[in-house]
Amino acid sequence: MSFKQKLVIAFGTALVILLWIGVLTFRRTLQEDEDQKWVSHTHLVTEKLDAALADLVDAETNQRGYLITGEDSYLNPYRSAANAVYEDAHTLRKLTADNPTQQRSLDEIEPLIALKLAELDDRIKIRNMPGLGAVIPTAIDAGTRYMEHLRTLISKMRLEEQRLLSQRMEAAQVSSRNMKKVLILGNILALVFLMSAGLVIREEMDKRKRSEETLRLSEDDLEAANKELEAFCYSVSHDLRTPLRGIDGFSQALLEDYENQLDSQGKEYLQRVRMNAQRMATLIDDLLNLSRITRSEMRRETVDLSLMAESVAIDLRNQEPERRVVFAVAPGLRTEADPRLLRIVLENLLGNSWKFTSKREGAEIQVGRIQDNGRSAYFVRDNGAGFDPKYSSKLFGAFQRLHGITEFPGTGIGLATVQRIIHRHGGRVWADAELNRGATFYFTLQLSISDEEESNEGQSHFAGRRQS
Amino acid sequence: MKDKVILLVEDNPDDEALTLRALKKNNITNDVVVARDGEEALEYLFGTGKYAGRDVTVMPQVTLLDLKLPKVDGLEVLRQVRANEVTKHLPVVILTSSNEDKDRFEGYDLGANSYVRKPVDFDQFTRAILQLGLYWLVLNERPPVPVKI
Repeated sequence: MSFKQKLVIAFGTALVILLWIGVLTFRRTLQEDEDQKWVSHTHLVTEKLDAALADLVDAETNQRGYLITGEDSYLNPYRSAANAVYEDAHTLRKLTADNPTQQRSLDEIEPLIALKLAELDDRIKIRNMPGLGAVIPTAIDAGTRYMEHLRTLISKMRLEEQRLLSQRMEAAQVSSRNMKKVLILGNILALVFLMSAGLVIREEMDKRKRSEETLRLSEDDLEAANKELEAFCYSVSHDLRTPLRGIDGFSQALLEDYENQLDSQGKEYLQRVRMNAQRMATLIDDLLNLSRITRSEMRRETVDLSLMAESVAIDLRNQEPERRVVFAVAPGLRTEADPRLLRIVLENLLGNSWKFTSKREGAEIQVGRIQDNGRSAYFVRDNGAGFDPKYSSKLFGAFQRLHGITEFPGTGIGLATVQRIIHRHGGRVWADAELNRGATFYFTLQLSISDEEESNEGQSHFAGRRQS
Repeated sequence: MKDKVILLVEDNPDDEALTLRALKKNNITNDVVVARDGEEALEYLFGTGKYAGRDVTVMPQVTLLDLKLPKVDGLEVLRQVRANEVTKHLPVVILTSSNEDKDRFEGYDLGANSYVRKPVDFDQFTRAILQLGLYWLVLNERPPVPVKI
């Protein structure tokens, strides 16, 4: 598992646990509000039950007062108490709508209230009829039974309501205890995951520290290797050339001082010794240049490749003014490259073209630009000796030559140098040729950016630089 | 031109012989003092060690200095020559096999008057020596040597 995955899992789990605890706590708060509501509800129901009973008693008391005294002042309180009883019953039905047990009790209570109040009313009517006082005792008996029955039923409802309340309180206590356990456990778990995330981070930091250490060490190694390489190059340039100078110099001394004692063959051999010494010196220099190209720092800037090619052409003409070669350089080829390295590329490619057209009448060398897979490719084309395309894979290897040394001179390092420079620019170099029909060398200078845009930008850069 | 001494600092006997030969071939007959390492070159210039008591009013018209030398290398010789009041203006031509950028930079930084790479081709080498001789022994005016050290 990767560091990132571990971290996501540890932090993610801790986060989920904490969120879960949050949700539980919130729900618990809601539950407590609900519980509180039930407590109030129970009180309300109980109060209403008490009120109903009290109102019944009140109605009865006032009715009796009227029966005994016959005073009308008892009638009004009697009626309002009787109405209150109905209202109480109605309110109770609404309050306990969700409880079938209580509703069933109310089913019993309501007709009883009606009977009781009817009985009370009947007695008042009888009281108002003269000469009917004898009926009263039996009626009172029935009224008392209703009343007792009502008392029983009301107290049953009270008990039911109390029972519900205590049941709810108990459930609330249990859930509160469970909640505490969950909170403790959840927080511990979250802590564990956070701590393990911390451990993962620490582990990763240690690991990175170690890799940095390793990297630093390998950087040291690299630096040491570079120093060694430089020492080697220095050695090659200095120590290997010195004996060559001895070989060449003393051969020449022999040729000059002992001219009379050497026949023509002896002189020729000495000339060959000199030629080889000089050739080896050139090889050493080319090899050093190749290694220098790899080591040197690269700085891209806007370069006018056309101007550069023209300038290389002038150098070539000056070296062999007697040759007639047509140079056709497309104007305005601007690009971003290291000017020093790009010049080495052009010197090598144009130099090759110059060399391999040396045996051709009407030699022509072209420099231009084509589009290759959406990017600009520059080319150097000649109508010289060319080469067999089957050897094109060998072209860019160091010391690879496709022509005999007597046919065309050279060390075979030029195209290896070109390839190295092009690769350092992130580009590609390839060739197209036919034996005796000339060769074309193509190269790109960057991976994929379109040169057209670069060229426009480049122009302004160029102008800016010239002004400054 | 005869009284103008050339100091050749060169450890390789072949190169020494070839340089002397090239001078001779170019008819440069000035005295050549050869120092085979950097220490010897400094002893000659400052009149110490092996050259104790030498007439130090006679200073080389030009010093041909190789860089890779035993004991004290060429760049260190140059540093000490430039650091000394008496020798600080002496013309010093670095004549070496190396064409490393680093050597060229350091050579010029330390105040070399010229930097010439020895060609392998003896004909070219002879031409180089001729041109050096013509320039430094004939054309170039050396600064006056102070009377006292």
